[in-house]
Amino acid sequence: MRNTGAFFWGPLQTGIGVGAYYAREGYRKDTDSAVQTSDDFTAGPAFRVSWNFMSHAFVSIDCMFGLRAPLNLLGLSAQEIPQFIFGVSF
Amino acid sequence: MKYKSRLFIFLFILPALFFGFPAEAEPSAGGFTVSAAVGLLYTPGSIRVGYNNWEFGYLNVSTFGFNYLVRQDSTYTTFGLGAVGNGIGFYGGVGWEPSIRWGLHFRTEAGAAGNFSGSAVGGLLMGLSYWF
Repeated sequence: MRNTGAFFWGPLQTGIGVGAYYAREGYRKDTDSAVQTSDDFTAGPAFRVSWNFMSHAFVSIDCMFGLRAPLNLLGLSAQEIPQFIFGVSF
Repeated sequence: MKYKSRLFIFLFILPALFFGFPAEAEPSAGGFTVSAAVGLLYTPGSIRVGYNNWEFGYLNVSTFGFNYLVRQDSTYTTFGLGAVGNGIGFYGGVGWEPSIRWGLHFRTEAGAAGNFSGSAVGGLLMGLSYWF
């Protein structure tokens, strides 16, 4: 992350990199059946833009574009994993 | 000593008040701009009108508002505010916008938006912009 400018009064920080995503989901058909799980994994390029609107408070947007099938990028298609954070840092 | 200080005021401070100190200018489109881009599977993804580094319009999937571009060479960082889905939220992204010719620029952008209702979306854009 490095300072790239300012949005109104607060500095902007931007970072570009790669990311990975892993999730396990569970599904139960009814209350008596066993849980069926499935795993999900993807990885790809990612970015993050953070706006520090107060000295310790920030809003950040980040997103990773998972490349399951890289050729899908030709259709501007990727498995995006976006995240919106409203937080504080010290 | 008194004369030296007056000389300093005359030579440096007064001219500075009239002309100002040169500041590093932030790269800018330098006027009005329009841009249009396609998103997922080449469906309409974005249409914006802008002035200098500010833009307004349909920014990306489910996002309508304004954004500010911080340019560095032909790349940029963007951050904005607007209606995201069914709430108010923020938009952020990074992009590449090289000049083609005659004010026409190729633009590609990776962006995402989130709102205070807890939803977030992201999308890739590819299109053209024109700098008047």
